[in-house]
Order: sequence, then structure tokens, then C-alpha cells
Amino acid sequence: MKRLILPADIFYEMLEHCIGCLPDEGCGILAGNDSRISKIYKMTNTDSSPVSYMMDPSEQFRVMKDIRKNGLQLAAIFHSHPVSEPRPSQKDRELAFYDDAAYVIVGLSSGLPHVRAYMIKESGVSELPVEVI
Amino acid sequence: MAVKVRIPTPLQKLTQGREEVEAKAGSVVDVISDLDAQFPGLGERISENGKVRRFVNIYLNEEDIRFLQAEQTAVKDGDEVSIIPAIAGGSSR
Repeated sequence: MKRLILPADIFYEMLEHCIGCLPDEGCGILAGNDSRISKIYKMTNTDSSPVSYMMDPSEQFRVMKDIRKNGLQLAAIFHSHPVSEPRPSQKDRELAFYDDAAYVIVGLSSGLPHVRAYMIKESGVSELPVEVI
Repeated sequence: MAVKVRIPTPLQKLTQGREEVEAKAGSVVDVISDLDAQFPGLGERISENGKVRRFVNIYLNEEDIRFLQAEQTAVKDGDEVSIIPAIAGGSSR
């Protein structure tokens, strides 16, 4: 994936979800075809923590089935960093099992939200441009 | 008839890109052993010393095996097993 294309309504829904989860981290899944996102799944963070997230496994199971049923792909995974910069932490890198998906981080530590996207692979981390359309 | 196993995208590199494979019935541990025999390296990505890894969730049909008999859950012919790596992380480290 070379870039992530997000419709504006999905982009703002993602931000609203992350802001609504404060002070905890918010998380979710963005589904689509290749880099173009067409569906957002707002997920429950079972860690309920400002510095950690774990998607509810049963919600995740249902979402995976829904993505398949709709002929989409798990294109990106998003979560927020309420108290730090939107860069993958060591924990984010260690737990990035879905190396074909983009990892979107919504930074909420300074005024306006900052959204960054990365490919996190064993070989390294690279940033992707995010286009809001 | 065998057991149908759904392989998540990150592990499809080990199954020649196949999203669905088959395994012999038995316990969940037996299914993982059979998968590893067919696709070397797959077993260690799912379990370690007979225990499913912490960040891997396994479903038997619609049920999380942690709410059944975990690794000893019986899997019958015709059942569907889904292997789903957890999605987790955070800014803590």
C-alpha cells in the first residue's frame, strides 16, 4: 500500500470515536478495497486505558466476517494516542500482526488531532500519506 | 469430511496464500499439530508448548475456545475453526 484514501465522513467519524473514548485510547478497523476505505468499524477497547488498547475479540470476530461478507479487505487499523505523538510505540510495533494493513494513529495530545498512517513490517516502519476526499 | 480452518491474512504466507485449509478432527491442539505438519511453521505462530499464544484468538464455529475447553476443545468433522490474531497496541512503551 502506497497511500490511504479516506472519505471525509469516515475520517471525521474516526476522529469523533477517538475523542469520544477519551481519556482512554479509542480503536477501530477501516475496511475497503486496497487503499480506498469504504467502511468504518468502531471497536471497544477492552483495556480501557489511556496508554493501551485491545480490540474486543468477539467484536473483532464478527467484524472479520462482515468484511468478508461485503467483499472488502481489512485495509487499516486505527487507534488513538491520547497523551503522546501519533508515532508507533514499541508495543504498537511488537503487536502489529496485520502487516498488510496500514496502522493509523490519531494523536490527541496537542490541540487539533493529528492523523498519521504507517506500514509496520518486520523489516521496518514506513509512513504513508493519508488523503481525505 | 474434515475440519475447515480459516487462516488470517498475516499467516497466509505459510499456506501458499490459501484463506481456507482443511485439518483432521481431534482437539484444538491436534488441529494445530496437523496444520503444522501440512504447513511447517504455522503451528509455532499459533501456539507455544501446547498453549495458544496470548495474542491469538481461536473460534470453533461461533464460539471463542476460551469459553469452551480451551486447547482441549473437541473439533468434529464439519466444524469451522477460525484463527484470529488479536489487534492490540498502544502508547505505553
